Amino acid sequence: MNDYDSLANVSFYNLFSIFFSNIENFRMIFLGIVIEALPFILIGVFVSALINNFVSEDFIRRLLPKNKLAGIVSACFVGILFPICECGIVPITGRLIKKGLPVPTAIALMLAAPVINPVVAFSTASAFNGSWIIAGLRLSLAFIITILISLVIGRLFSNKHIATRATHSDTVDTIVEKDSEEKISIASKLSNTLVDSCNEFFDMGKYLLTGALLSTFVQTFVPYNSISSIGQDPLSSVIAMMAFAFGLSVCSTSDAFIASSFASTFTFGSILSFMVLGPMLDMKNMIMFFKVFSTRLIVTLVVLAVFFCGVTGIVMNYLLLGGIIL
Amino acid sequence: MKIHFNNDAFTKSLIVAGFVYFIYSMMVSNQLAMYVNPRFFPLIQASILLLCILLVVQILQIFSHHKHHAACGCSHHNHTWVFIPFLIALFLAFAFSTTSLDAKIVDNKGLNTRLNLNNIPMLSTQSKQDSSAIDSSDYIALNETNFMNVITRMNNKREDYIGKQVEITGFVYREPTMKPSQIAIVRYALVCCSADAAPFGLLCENIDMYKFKANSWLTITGTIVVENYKGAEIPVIKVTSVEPVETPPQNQYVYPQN
Repeated sequence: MNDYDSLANVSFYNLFSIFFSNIENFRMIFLGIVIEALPFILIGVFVSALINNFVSEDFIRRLLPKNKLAGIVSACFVGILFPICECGIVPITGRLIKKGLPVPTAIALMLAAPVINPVVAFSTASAFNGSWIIAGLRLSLAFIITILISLVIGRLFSNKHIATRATHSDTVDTIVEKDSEEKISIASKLSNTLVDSCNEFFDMGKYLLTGALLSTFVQTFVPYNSISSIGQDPLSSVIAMMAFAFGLSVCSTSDAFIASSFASTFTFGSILSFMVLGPMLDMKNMIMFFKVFSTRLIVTLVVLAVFFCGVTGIVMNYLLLGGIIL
Repeated sequence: MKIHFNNDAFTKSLIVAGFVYFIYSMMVSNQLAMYVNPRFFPLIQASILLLCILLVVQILQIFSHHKHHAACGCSHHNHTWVFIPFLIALFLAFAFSTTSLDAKIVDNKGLNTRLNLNNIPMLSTQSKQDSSAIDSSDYIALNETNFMNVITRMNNKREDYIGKQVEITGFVYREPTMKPSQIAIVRYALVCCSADAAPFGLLCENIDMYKFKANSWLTITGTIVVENYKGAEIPVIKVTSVEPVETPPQNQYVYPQN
């Protein structure tokens, strides 16, 4: 009846035509992700360069609460004032660590800012038809999980040299820092900011684009329905939705709309896991992590995030909260 | 004094120029809405501006022996492979023309292969907002701006819509579970960017629906009834007239949250 039926008899010609009829869709999805991420990554890169040239380590040290936990908790709320998405926050986090922000505090900032902000709260509520309960649940779970992950990472990575990846920009920092703050004029600070922005744009951009290519590949060639058969299982639905969040790499402001379209076929806990894990960890920003963090820290972060989000989703399923809230 | 020419900065300038040119040309030719939701346009204009700043900085670096470069020797850190993702992006941008994600991707097992009509009511189980303007009229024409709104509300307050006349334009989509007398008229909704495009639509029913080919564009008019489909109550159009759309709109998306 239609072209779809003929796909059953797979021939070389068919595979060939599937690939070529998909290249336009591939292109549209890929460029859509890139164009949408571009303003955020540019803002991230410029802010990072500004911090590099205008914010001293002293200033950050004075700004930070003395208490470690207080620092982590306050970092969780930075997103309320500066709602920045997951691709913009990675370069800023990397820069702040180099400027002396403790690793667990920086991790808290990076994990929380893309979820705990007004834009995400509003879009989640509107995706679930004005349900502020779901929005509140998403944000508070993200808050708890962020604190847990940051505390564990604080325990395991006390030394920032184990946590971060040495890059050539480190040498720039030390050179800039050797000159005292006063010696450098505002004008040269500004010109340094612009040059830094350029370099970081290309540094981060290659990771962003690679991540976008991979997630577009997943979107174009892995059908949604390949995971829908396990949608009602309390355990495997959570795992499937987390894998989906990771592969999809859509922005934290729009993922609630995707999550809501799964609400009838997937368990409530798996939908929550999707919405909490997605902004913390996805293919696009994980590739950017490799620019900033050591492989050991990335592996730890991934394991912790998947573990906590997974457990949350599974617990939610067994408490059967979905029946009350949805 | 020998003239310094920075190959690295030159390549970077070309890449940034390529991005600026591509996004700017998409904007002036009104094709940007096929990649991202128009509510992002101000941000994208800002990013063109920021890219232009980067472009100027980068061009200045081609000939100047900047101390920054001298200090860290960036040029030797930037191996050519670094540019490959950028070049792939630019190749994709310029080698093909802009298209809507149409029914092809539904057929080719791509994104949203299965339009799950059961999902749509769930999207809107607990809507509290009312829009009396739409609820009270007896004839509703769905268009680009009200499409999502109307479909969401129709699923919320199914009973209120029974008996109302509806006109809807979109492409034909069939699920294996549909009867020969059933088709869905579908549009892709763009929440953020083309990566999250999700199909939304209404089930349409009439004895001769089998003759309309999947992916073809139709304008359907009919009356709303509520029927059970795959275990859920959903609004269905009892078709009274079908009008084939000869040339589908260039931009086939609908935009929620505008």
